[in-house]
Amino acid sequence: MRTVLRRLRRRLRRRGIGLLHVYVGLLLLFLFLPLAVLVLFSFSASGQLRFPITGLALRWYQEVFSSSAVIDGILASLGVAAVTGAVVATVGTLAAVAVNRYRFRGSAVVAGMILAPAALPGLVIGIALLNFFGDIHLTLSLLTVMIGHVIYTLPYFYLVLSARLRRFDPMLEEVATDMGAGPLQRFRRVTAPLIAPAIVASAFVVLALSWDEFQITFFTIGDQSTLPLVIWSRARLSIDPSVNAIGTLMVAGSLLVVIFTRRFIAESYS
Amino acid sequence: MTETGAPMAGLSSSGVAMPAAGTEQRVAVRLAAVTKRFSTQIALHPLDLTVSEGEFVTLLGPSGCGKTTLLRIIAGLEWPDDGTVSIFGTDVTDRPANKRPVNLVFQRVTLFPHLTVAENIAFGPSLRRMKKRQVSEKVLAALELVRMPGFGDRRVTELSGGQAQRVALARAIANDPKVLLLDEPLSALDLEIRRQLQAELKDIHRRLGLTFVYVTHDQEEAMSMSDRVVVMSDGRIEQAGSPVEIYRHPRSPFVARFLGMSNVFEATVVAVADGWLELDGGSLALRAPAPAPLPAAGGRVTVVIRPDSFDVAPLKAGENAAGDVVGEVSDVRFIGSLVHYLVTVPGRKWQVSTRAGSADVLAEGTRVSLSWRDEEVIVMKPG
Amino acid sequence: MGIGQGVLTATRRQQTPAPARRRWALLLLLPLGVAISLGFVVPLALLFVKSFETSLGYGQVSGHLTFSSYVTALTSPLYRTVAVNAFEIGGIGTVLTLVLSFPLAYFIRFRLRRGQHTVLLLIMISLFAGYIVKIYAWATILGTYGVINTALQDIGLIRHPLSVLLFSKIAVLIVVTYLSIPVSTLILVGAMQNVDRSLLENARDLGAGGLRAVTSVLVPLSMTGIVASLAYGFVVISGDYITPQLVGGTTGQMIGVPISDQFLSVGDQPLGSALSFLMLAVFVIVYLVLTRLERFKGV
Repeated sequence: MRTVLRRLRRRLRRRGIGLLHVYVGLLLLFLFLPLAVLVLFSFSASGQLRFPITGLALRWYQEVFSSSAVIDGILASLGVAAVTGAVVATVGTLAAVAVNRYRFRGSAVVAGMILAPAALPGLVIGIALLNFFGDIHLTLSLLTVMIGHVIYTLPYFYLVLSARLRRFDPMLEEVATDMGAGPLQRFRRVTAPLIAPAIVASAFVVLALSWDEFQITFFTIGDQSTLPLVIWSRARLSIDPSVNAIGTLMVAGSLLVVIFTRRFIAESYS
Repeated sequence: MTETGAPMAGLSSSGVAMPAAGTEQRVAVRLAAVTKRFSTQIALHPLDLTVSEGEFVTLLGPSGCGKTTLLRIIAGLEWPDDGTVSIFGTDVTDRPANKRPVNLVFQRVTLFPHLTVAENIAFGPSLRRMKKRQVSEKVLAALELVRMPGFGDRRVTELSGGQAQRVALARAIANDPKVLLLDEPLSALDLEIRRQLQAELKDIHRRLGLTFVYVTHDQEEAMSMSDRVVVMSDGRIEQAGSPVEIYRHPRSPFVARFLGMSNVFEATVVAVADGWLELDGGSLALRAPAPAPLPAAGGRVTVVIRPDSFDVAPLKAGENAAGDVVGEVSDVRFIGSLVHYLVTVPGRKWQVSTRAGSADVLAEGTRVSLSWRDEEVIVMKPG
Repeated sequence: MGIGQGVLTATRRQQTPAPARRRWALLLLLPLGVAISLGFVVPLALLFVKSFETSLGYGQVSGHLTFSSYVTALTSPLYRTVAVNAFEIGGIGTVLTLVLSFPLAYFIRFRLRRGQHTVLLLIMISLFAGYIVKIYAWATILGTYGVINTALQDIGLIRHPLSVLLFSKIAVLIVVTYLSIPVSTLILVGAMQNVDRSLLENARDLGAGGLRAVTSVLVPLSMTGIVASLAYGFVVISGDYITPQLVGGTTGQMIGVPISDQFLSVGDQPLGSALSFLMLAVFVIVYLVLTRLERFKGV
């Protein structure tokens, strides 16, 4: 037995495949197994979530697309994500630039405060906000959801943008000054074009996080639902295979988005 | 009569930009009592420096001597704590870098990564809102000057190190500076490319007649390219002069050692007569031309004999020296065109360089006699 | 050039005067400060106050302040069980996640050249496939008629489906670990970016075998990432209140569930708040322990 394994190992190693490769392969398989199951069952004709699959059908997709609840959920999620993205990008960029460029006492404290929400589970942020909105008599709605999302995603935006800002070469601005550019020209022609891709990439992180957010949204939602909540209500009540269809669509959606925006997410000018 | 210093419309290749004998050269850069402190350290002691129009001046020194700081002060990227900077007679001490008619070529590649080669070069002119056609003419002329025609549309990330520095040079020149500053632009490049660019830089300097202020720690580079070399150490100017002058008459042990002459030793003045000094160097007696001011008899002086001042002759066993000193070869380094010997003589070890030529390279342990011309012994003040 | 003149010019020109710089920075930070205080600090403070109120049921409270909620939270065996559950699963889960993701992160950072980007993007996609959806998918896999059971039965290893797979502590552990691996991997890869490849090669050159090189060089140098991954994993897993509800059954319940219940249905909000802050207290302790770990092993 041992010699068989050894011979197999040698043959694999000659092809450059070691133990690590095998492990990584298995782990990636593990990561995508549930997604594969998801996709598979979304095409299952029967309503049972069991093996073996009896027939293939698109009925769950038909059901999903004709459901106004799902459509509304998607729109709500998109809207919330977009607004959250805009707000966080604005506030977060100012903050990241402030900490990155200006050395002032307490910059570490500021950074700590920005990152604090990431240190708590969504549960606590959610109930704190719910309580807060109750105290100030603010009706729960998509607005309150957005507030929660902004608090939640701000630390991540800041983290990603700060990391990218650190790779910005300050000498480039010196060169611009040396060439005769005044502060405004320098910002417009050198600083801004170089920072912009970093901001966009960080904003994408925010969009993705907001789109998928559930644990805080659960407490801050009013009458309208975002997509994750729609899924929850279906999954909670009964075994609902349409969840699989929605899930598959979400995977497909994120895949498409990632493909189209690869250029921005990639480290430009590395 | 030359046209050096005038802003360039296109980039014409004028003739040699040396001023005719007797014409007054304008002062391009004047630094007076410039001082710089970085928190507790003094980067620059009060120093004065004058650069003439059309000169190629090099600030030479080891890392940390302040040469880059000085250059950046001229550029306007650092502010001196004291002193003034004037460019062609105008006091620019209070002006920020973007308002000074000088441009800096940085040590690292600092091309704008989001712009093409042509856009990089056009950056300065485009800030001044020149007409598009004028700008592109400038860009083309600059690319021709640095021998990279046709590279205009390339992305900056595709360039090699040498190419990138050429574009940086073109970018600086296209901005029509009155003085061009260069901060060790070649230090990151391979030897061959470095040599090539050194020659091209010299050529560009000659063609444009532009004032160059260059910074480097490579003494060969400094000596080969400059009209004048300013040797710096610890924030002070040790010596300034033409390469020949500095090499033949180093005025301090630091300068001597930095230029590669490590045969530095102390001697006592035995006698002074007729412009000559008789010296006692411990185990060695020598003569040397007397410097001004004359040292007193009995005083200590520092002496330097350049490695290339020696004649080396191998001695057969038992043979005695016809020349001055007998020693033994303790190290041999064959560089190709030169051979460096380390010769142990009574009391010290001397570095000796000779042309390899067709003579045999001496082996370690060979007994040799060293001789030199008394005129070549350099006497400096001690310290 | 007189000394007086020198002093005058020196004071006249400063690069960018330091006080003005600080003023700019503070101005830029203002919106952030407002957002964080209103959206985070104030709500948390109010919640903390709430934990001392007396509950009148159905979400109502009286102004009377007391420690009773904390007493209930700490003494009730029910809450103790689920709390212990939560921290147990949190602890095991985060360590398991770290152990599983570390080799993957190492592989991505040091073994892939051109593929790095693709794999990272794939991982990000798996992240955004939908939180609930993924838990749901696992319920399908682990269920009585799910992939594992039918496969094992078909092979013949078992005769009756294993019911322990779903609706159990194990199920929760599997799912939360699964959910944490992508983020952990990203954190670790990020930390490893700062480790120079040549350091590992150097270690190998000096005689450390492959694994030894990794543990003695990579682990200390990526300690910040390791600590971040452990801390983040512990917090997120312990505070998860959805996974236990979907796959936890009776044995796999965690503290997040009763906390969320207080605010949704039961209405004893002071108790919910008290439980939350006790949970946060545990988190703080864990953070302190982990940062001590970082200093101990790290650079």
